[in-house]
Amino acid sequence: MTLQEFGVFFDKAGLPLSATQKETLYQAWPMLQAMIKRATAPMPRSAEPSIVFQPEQK
Amino acid sequence: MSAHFSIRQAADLIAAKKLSPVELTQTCLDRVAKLDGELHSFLLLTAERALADAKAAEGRQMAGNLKGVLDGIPIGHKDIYCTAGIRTTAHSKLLEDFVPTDDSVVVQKWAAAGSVMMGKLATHEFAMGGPSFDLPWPPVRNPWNTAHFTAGSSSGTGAAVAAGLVLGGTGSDTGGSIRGPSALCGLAGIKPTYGTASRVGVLPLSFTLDHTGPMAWTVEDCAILLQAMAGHDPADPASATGATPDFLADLSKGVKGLKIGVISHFHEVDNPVSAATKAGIDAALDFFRKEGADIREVTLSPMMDYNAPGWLILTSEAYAVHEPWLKTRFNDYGELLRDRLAMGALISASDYVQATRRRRVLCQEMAAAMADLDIMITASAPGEAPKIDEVPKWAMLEKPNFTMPFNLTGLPALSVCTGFGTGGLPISMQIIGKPFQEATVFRAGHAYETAMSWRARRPAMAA
Repeated sequence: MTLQEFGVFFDKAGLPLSATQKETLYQAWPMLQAMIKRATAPMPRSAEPSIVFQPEQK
Repeated sequence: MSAHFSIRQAADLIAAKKLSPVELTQTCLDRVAKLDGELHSFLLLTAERALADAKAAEGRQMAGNLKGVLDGIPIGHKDIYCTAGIRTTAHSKLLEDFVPTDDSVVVQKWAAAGSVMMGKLATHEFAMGGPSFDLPWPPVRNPWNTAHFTAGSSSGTGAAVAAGLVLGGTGSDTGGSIRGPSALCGLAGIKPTYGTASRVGVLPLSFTLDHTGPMAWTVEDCAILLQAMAGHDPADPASATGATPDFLADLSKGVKGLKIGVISHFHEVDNPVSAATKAGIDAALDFFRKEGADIREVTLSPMMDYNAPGWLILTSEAYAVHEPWLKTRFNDYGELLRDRLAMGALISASDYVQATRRRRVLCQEMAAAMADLDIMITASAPGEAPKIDEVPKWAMLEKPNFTMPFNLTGLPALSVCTGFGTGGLPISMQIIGKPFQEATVFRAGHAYETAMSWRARRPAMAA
């Protein structure tokens, strides 16, 4: 992802980052990207852990 | 009076009418006047309130109707705990003039127990950025060496307790914010099981990872403080509904027969600690072994596997909390926090959901590993406190930290001082328990701590 493409994420989110601020965050992006990759690595279908909603029981 | 007291010691003396709560409070106020110009641990000192609280406690002392162990004990609150009529800033320009109308539930509970409220303690901005030098107040300095970092985010509580400005205080822990400063300032600090103590009235960072908890000089003091803050709160949807355990029940039982798992790969391979920290943990394990504990190795997924979903969840939830201000007051945040929060714009909804699914798998792994154990042990921090101006901005992305795995899984985790490193600053270990088994964690920590003669040592500036 280029710096320009990277900056679009913040523009779309409505965050008023300056060009310098975007550039600073761009330096850290590979580290965050690695973390996202690690946390979202595919899990076996048989595991299929889900997040759940638990209704309050009164 | 120049002696440093633990909460237990002070409480025993107050109960025996050998220590005046007013005199104790005045000693703490004098220490604040002498030391806090250098430490910056208080954002707001409430001296009049403290003396009024102390006088009320002294009245109860004289009348023989003390409320309990915390009656007359000087404490402080991290400045994300709302206090009625008293400024609560989160150490941020955004809340520079915020005066809540209500006390947070924990503040109410400690006040009802008779504690003396000394004031509001510094934090990393909104319990996440830091150390920051571009906020309305300076960052806290470590009383063991003021050129060094306290860690955070409960930085003010860490420094204030270590220097004896208060005897205990509140912290909050989303990725290690109680255990980090406890480790680097040489205290005891516990992140209890998720849901143990109410978060109502505490400014949020990450709803599914935020924990409230106490920090104090000793393990026993942490147990006393946690007892006074725990309990079901129907206003906190995460609040546990079971009966509150007696956290002091097993304190003096020793460790004979305890089954202890050591997660060596966390502190030897995944993020290798300093030689002194490793030696401190090994010495503690030798102590436990000699006292009759059964020590075994535990292997879990690599520590970064726990940190990755933890930081994704934390950043996403914190982004959701702060999004309105990020859009309208972006440059009113300090640089560190605004940059960390802005990263939330790069995490997709799918990433967040996948991280929560991964969390469940890791919770199951941790539960299975603990099935035949009473506690686990690893490091709290990689070593002694670094210099305050040498803390990497993206430290949490570069290396896995030792505390996040237990925020992710919600398990109780206590940081205990294991001595001092080559630079003369504290080193530490972490004791982890099963859900709602804090009493066992305290039991092991207390047995170790009370056997260590060096535990009486305080920072030279506060001696």
